[in-house]
Amino acid sequence: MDKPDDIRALFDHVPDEDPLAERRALDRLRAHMASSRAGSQPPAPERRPRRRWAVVGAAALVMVTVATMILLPMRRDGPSSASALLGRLSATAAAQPSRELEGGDYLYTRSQELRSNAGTAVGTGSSWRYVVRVVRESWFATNGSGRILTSYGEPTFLTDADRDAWKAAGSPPLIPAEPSDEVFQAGEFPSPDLSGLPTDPQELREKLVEDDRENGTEGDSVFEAVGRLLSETGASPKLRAALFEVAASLPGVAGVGVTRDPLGRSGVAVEQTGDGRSIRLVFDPSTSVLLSIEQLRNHLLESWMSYEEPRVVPTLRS
Amino acid sequence: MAPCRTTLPRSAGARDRDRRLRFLVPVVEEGPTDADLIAASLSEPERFEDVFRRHYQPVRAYLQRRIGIDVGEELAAQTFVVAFDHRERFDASYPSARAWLFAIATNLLRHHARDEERHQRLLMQNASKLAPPFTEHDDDRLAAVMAFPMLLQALSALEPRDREAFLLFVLADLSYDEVANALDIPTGTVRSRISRARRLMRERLPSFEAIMSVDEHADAEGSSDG
Repeated sequence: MDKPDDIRALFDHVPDEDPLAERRALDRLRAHMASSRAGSQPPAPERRPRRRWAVVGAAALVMVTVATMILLPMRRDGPSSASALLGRLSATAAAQPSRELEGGDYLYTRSQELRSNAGTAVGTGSSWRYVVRVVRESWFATNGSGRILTSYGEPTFLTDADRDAWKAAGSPPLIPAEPSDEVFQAGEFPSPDLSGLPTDPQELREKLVEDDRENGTEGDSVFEAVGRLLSETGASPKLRAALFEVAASLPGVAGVGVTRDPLGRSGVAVEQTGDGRSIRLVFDPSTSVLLSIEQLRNHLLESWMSYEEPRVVPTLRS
Repeated sequence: MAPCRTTLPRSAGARDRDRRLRFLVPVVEEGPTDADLIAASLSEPERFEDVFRRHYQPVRAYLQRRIGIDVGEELAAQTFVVAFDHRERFDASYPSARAWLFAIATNLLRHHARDEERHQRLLMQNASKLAPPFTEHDDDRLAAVMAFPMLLQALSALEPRDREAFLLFVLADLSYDEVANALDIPTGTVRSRISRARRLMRERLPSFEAIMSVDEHADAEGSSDG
């Protein structure tokens, strides 16, 4: 039976074969198989359990619960969807290769941020709110040298009243006049020291809660700290896997499911909500790479930071 | 200025078909059938990877053509995760898992109707960039650029159930029986839906040669629509 080739030909921008996509999908399937074997498989919504399997399942559940209590005393408080999703991301993260950087090469990363700002006029007290897009490019070498280039987009006022208030205050500068370009000599590149962080999930959680309390936030910002650490390209696969486990253990963390990040990329997300504000982390499910951190107020996106795929470059230029 | 044709050169189509045949037409596999592999995977889960390797690329390509590169890849990966979770339910009387996998993919697509609409709009806006680069002459390329948005509009005007059957038949290259299996409807109904879709496409795209040339009688044969 003949088929209209013309139609298929018009969709030729999609390749018939994509080995990299296949690799990513296979890694994900394997991670899912592994998590299923470990007992963290999400329940199939439409499956009707058979009596025979229900007995076996109950026995398996007891065994897995006991094993979990012995091997991982940290409790997972989050809803099951978040817990299962973060468990899969943890398995995927652990399976990723370590990033090796040759001497002389730089790891180039680029992030974009929508930053919410506010200004206040001295004297009158009137204020204005605006958002600005900030692009940060960084080059990092193994000897600790590098460069950070920060540039700013055109500010946008949230309302006309904000613009009027800013004008009435004499139109003070909202962003730096020039991009910021900093070059760092060996050992000077500002990156967090990850070497002191434990890779055991229980110990890591205790350490992050302790650090958060020292910062005066009473352990409320651990989820956000996990997001920041997952954005660090220097984090080892083992540390990243542990960070996902910590996220799964935090209260109020819920699965969002498949979504798009502010740059339009498809990913899977989890979020923690409290007092009408949410922090949402979006990940590439095939690699566990953090795509974006988003802040929402009453479910509306307030600000975000998105990370592009790092790459190795030979010079301090993108 | 020479009049623009809204057809593509047959040679290009033939080349394309030959190339696609290697990937989209079910290959007669030596060794175990999909049904054998799925049965074996119940006790040895890694055997399911062979099912994945046989069918991933056509499922991915179909989903990406329907809904876009990123979401399509995501849904393709989900298709095999869902298939793995539900492999007990696979009907072993079918040796091939192809239609079953496309059924799962189709169900996932239904949850992303908005994404698909957005993707179609994006395709129309970017038709000039996405037009297939396989033509050797500017006129052919121009014709392809013009044909693409028209085709997308004609497809989006079809009844969803007709479009579903038509695209599984044309883009996924399933047979009538496989489409019937994937959509869980009788084969006669599939023929009827594809026939109606072709008729409407032909009315809207009167100079689309390949659609015109299809054997309409074969489509309508034995059909009784639902």
